[in-house]
Amino acid sequence: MEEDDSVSLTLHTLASIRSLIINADTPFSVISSVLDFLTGLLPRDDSPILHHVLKLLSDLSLSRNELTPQIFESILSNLLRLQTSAAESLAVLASLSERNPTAAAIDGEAFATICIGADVSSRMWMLRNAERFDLPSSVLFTLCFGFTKDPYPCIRRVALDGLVYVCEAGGFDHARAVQGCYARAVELLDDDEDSVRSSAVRAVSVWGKVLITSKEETRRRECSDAVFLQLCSVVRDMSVDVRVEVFKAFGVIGTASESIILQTLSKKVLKAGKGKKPQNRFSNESADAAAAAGVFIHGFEDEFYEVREAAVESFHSLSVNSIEFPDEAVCLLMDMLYDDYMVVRLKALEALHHIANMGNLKIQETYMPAFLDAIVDTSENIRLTARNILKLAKLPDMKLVNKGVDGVLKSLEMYPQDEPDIFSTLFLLGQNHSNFVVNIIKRFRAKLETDSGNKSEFNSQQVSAFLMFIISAPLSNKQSITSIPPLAFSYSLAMVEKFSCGLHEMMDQDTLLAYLAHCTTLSSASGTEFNKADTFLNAYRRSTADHSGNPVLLPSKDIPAESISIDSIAELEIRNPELKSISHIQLKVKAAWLLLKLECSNEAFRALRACKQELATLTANSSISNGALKFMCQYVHLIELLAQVWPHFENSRHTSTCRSVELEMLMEELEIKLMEIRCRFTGLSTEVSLVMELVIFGCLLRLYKFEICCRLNCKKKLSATVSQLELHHEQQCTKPSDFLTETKKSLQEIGSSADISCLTLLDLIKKFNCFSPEQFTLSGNLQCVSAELEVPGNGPYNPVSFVAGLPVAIPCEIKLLNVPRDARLWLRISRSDDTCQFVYLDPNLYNGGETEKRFMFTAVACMTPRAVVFTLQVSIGIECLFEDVCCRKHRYGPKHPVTYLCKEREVHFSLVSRTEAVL
Amino acid sequence: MAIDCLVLGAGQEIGKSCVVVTINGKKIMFDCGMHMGCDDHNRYPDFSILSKSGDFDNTISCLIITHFHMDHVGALPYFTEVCGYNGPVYMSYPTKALSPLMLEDYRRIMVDRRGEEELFTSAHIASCMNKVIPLDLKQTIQVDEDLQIRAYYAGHVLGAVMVYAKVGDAAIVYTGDYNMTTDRHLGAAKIDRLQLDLLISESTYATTTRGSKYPREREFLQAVHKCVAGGGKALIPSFALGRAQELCMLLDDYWERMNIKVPIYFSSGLTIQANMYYKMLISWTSQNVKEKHVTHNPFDFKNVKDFDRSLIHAPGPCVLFATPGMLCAGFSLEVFKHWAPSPLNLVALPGYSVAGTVGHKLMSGKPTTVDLYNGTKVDVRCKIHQVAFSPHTDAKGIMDLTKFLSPKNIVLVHGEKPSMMSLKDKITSELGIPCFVPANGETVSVASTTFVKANASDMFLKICSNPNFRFSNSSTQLRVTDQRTADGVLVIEKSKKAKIVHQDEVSEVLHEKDHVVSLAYCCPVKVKGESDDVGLIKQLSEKISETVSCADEIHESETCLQVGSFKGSLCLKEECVHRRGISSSCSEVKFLCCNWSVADLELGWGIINAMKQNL
Repeated sequence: MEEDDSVSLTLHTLASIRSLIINADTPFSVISSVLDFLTGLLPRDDSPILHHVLKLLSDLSLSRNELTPQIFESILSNLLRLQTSAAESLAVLASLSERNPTAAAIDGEAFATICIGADVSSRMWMLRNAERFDLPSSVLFTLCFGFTKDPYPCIRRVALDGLVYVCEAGGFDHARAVQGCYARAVELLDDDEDSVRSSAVRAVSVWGKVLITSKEETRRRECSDAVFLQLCSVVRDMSVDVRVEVFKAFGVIGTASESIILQTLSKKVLKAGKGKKPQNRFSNESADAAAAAGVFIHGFEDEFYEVREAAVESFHSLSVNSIEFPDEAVCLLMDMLYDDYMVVRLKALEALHHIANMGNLKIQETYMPAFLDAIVDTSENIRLTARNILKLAKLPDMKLVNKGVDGVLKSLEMYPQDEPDIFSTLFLLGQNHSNFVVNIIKRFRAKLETDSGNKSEFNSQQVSAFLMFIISAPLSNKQSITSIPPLAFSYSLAMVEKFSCGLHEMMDQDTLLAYLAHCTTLSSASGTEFNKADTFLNAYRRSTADHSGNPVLLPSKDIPAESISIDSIAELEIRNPELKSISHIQLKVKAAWLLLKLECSNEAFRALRACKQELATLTANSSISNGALKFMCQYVHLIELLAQVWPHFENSRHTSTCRSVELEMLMEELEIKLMEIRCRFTGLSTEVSLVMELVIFGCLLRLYKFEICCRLNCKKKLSATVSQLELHHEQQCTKPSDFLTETKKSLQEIGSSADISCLTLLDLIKKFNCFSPEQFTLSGNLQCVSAELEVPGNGPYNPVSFVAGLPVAIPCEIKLLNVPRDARLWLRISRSDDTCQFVYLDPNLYNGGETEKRFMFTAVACMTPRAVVFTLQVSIGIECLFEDVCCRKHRYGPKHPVTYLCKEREVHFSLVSRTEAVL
Repeated sequence: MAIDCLVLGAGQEIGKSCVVVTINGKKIMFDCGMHMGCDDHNRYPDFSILSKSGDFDNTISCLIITHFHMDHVGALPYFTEVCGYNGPVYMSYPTKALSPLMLEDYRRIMVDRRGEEELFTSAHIASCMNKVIPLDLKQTIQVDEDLQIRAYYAGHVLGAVMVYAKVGDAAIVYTGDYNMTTDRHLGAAKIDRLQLDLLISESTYATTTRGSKYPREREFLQAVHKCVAGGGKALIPSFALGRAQELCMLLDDYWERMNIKVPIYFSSGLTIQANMYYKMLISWTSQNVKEKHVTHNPFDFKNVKDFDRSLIHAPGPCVLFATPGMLCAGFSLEVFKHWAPSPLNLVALPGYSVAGTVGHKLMSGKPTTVDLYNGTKVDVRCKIHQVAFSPHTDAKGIMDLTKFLSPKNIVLVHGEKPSMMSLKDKITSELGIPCFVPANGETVSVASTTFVKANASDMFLKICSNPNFRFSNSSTQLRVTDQRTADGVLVIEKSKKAKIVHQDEVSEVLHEKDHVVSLAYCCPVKVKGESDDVGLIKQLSEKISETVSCADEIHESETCLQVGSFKGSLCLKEECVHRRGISSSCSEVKFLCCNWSVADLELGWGIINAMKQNL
């Protein structure tokens, strides 16, 4: 590059420089001299050449990224000198800095200077691309604000867009600037150019929003009304874009006084709006509510669907934000259901759905066809939204209900893929219209008769659809159950899987099963049994009723998580019949618990006994460990105990002494069993919470039923267990059950006072619903701690000899299984008169690596009576370390309660006869 | 200059629309209609007001027809063929296509059925249509050197336009009939925001405000559905073009949706022919139809069949569209005669009925018998349903359009006087625009805009090329003004073209010197010690450079010193005019007479203060 500056540059030279630049093999020295040469040309401000030079520099940076900062620097330093191609160099700078963020930023002042000096096209480019230069918002604001005065409409437009950008970027809330900006945008609503007006509308909405939020609370309403009315004045603009923007802007503002909203629904100026002319302080014009006359009527009947869509959408957002939204509005929206455009119909349906959610939707006969059309629409979204509305709808008469059901059936026929959601629609429809169930039953019977000739048709969708409607009726109207043939419920039981698929949002399969089973018995029974239905239905309704008093059933748990787990479990079950029967047993236990709550205790016992029998037939194998099986047995036993305890709580609090003794005993046993299940299993994971909740439940029962004296201890235990369980959840990162959180809350409320409200307790007790499936996963390494104790050779005919008053040794052969390291084992030696003695088992005896350990141990029994023969009961117990609350005071013995690992072994003793002794 | 608006027809009445506007000497005639309710000479506008001699060619620059309705086009053959106007006639393509059909139909009814004298012949219609120059939407036509016209979409009927006319700087819009809301087949009126001196608007419904169109459509459909469901026959008398198509689209859609099998009939060949035009002129229909017709032409009605006269007495329900509307004559009246006595049947009357027609009688009460034109009486036991849609805009639409265009003046035509008066009051009070309601034969004159053309000086142009923003912070808000034009001065010299110069150039242009404001003060200075004048100046200069920060360069000469525009020299006068409040008695005080320009105001006072400290 020995060329001198004086040598006139030809395009040819520049072309050869370009080839040097794009050639990747050009040595760096050449490139750097090319760079020097090119940057040397920059100050010349020779625009025809400069254009090429800038292009070459940009290419150079593209091929040699490391030079970018240097190139950036040199262009930047010459920026203000490059009068004619300043905008072009800015474009190069922008692209350079985007490619290499390390390059320095462009000075805001320089940008402003260039922008003001530039010609129209460059100015427009600069304003449009200002965002790329990372300018301070004050500079950008000043520039854009100034250029709203530009004589060129295109500049005014981009300036307004720039202001919108500044506003949306946030952080610019200087009060006068906001006010000024809003006022300027309002002025431009009257611009002659369509594009300027549409940008102005956007600017008015965003700056208006800022203005509203900047006002103090009391004046906000006034201000938002003023902005709203200001926007109303351009609703009748002839430009489609402007109209679309205006309706979008209403959505941005999102709120207005009710009188204004009412006015927007009527083209006639309403009396309320007449004469009342709130002074609009923001543009020195009086804004009259009359400006809002018929705004939405115009929007809804606009020629262009874009406008109608925007109108419906903004209408929706207004209805979201307005507490009271007039009924007239609903009629207007209904008309939009006949729109030719799918998107408008969908938006209208969505808005209607929202209104229905607020409980304000009354579907009249006039509009029913529109809904039915929507239900069989070709668009999936429309069908879905229409069904969602129907789920919430309250239809006034039989005719409409029939029409609704027909529509849904038709849609089921046309779009079988919608089946689950259609089922849930019918279920809710039935629930909301239980008064009409008789008629639907008639239709159902007719349907069955026509289908009966063809047995394969039994499963037809239509029959199931009718069933869905019918079986939901008792949920809202219990009397209706008498009119429902038991047949309906038993048929539904056969289709429970299909149904629960549709109802997964409302209830799980177990609940549905229990419900159906319950209804079957109820509908066939009469009179006395009938009232029992209340409990189930009321409990169900209470837990699921939404705020509008509508029995909408809320999802009880996270659906996706559940479905995943169900899937994986289902997969496992296919491979393993044992696992399947275990999960069946779980279901049964759950159902039994529900039955129990409904005061059907006999059925519950029967179910639980069946469970036990079934468990007994199972054998351990690879997929289900012995420990898990044992755990299940224990668990079912516990539930059975609870089932026995339960009726005592159902009745009044004061019971006869005899019953209370029985209860006391049952509770005792329950607590022992609870302790056992806690201590005897290792490798518990999620089951811990299962067990602990039972413990908590036990405590609650005790607190509720028993005398003041044991309350304090019981409460201590309760809070201890609650915190333990909480800790467990924290460690395992699992979600505490509702029962636990409720209990914790009540505990906090109760505080330290001994006075506990029985109602709270009863509430809590009623909340307990056994278990949820995720608690019951039966982890693979569940092990049962057990022991075997044998006194070899000992028997009634071969007793151990003893000398009265002296200690006697009992030779024990002990086999331990799965004893954890930190366990403390005791040998309990007891006499029938309830005196007992504990002997500590030295851990060294059994602490080996293996799970099974056999050893001999000689226990010394101190309490030999003055008797010829006697027996002692020996058993091995494990100390329950966590039961530290009510510790027992034995002089030598465990500090904590002990639970036993094996059956008591009777050891027989006989007094050493003198002769024998002599001998 | 002024704009004169002479109303020949449709002034304070509906019918025979004809307005002649003179803009800067150019006469334009808008519409040339006939009055449907008159049988005498009043049915045509009084053209003699324009020219006693009948030399219309030289009086009128052009004639523009907005749409094909008889009250807008009816007098055209008479004016061109009988009165002999030979100048250009403009109308939109659809209007040009459909007008001859309308005219011919009307001529046939008037002459063949009622036996009236022939006002124009078929040949007249044909030759008058030959003079027509078709217009397209938004196409600007230079009628002659000064006059340009442009058509905008007006809705109302197929091919209806609003017309913008501009002569020099003065511009007006004549709306013709228009509709501000879209209907089933036509769009809403659409116009740009224009700078107008005058807007001439129709005002058929000057006091009515209509609600949403959807309930109205529903009522109509329900009425018809109820009638046919009950086995009745529904008669919809309407003109072949316009309402017939709209209602038919509505019914056809509804029939599809509700799966109704009852036949819909169109009575005459004219309607079928008109449907064909509609199918062809899709670009003049609403957005909805335009987008739909790609897949299915909405004017291909699925349920519509031709009607045969024998079907009048056929049993079973049906829907019949019969021409003409208003039940004024012809086939619709004949069918009405047969169907009216049955209570099962329905007559649905769309739109406006002119006073004197059977339609008007039916609407204005619930008559049990109706006199037909030839004296026979008919028992009316059928149901009457007034279809409340109209292709005319309502009062709110007129207000909206006026507000949007913001013309300097407005003239209302094509309406009934009382309601026009109330609309006039509304416009004047709410929008503050002068509004006129001239009667037939009256002329309204309004001032027109004229712009003065001026040359601009190079300097002014150069300065104007870059913005010059000034931000001002008023009490509540930030304001911005662009100062660039504020620096200009308009200079109008005798017999020369006006010129705008930059304010700096004014003195040069006017050959005047600039006035300079300067300040003067004779400042007392204390002499320290025995220094002479030169020493004093030196002292002062040091002092100034010490204390005054912006005094960069101080020039000293013997008895003077100079800093920028500030000049000070020793004053030897006994009584200096600039010396104030200080007596010269003290011998140790000398005076420095200073003057400086306004530009250095701060600097000057700074120096004075510094020197005073020396005192």
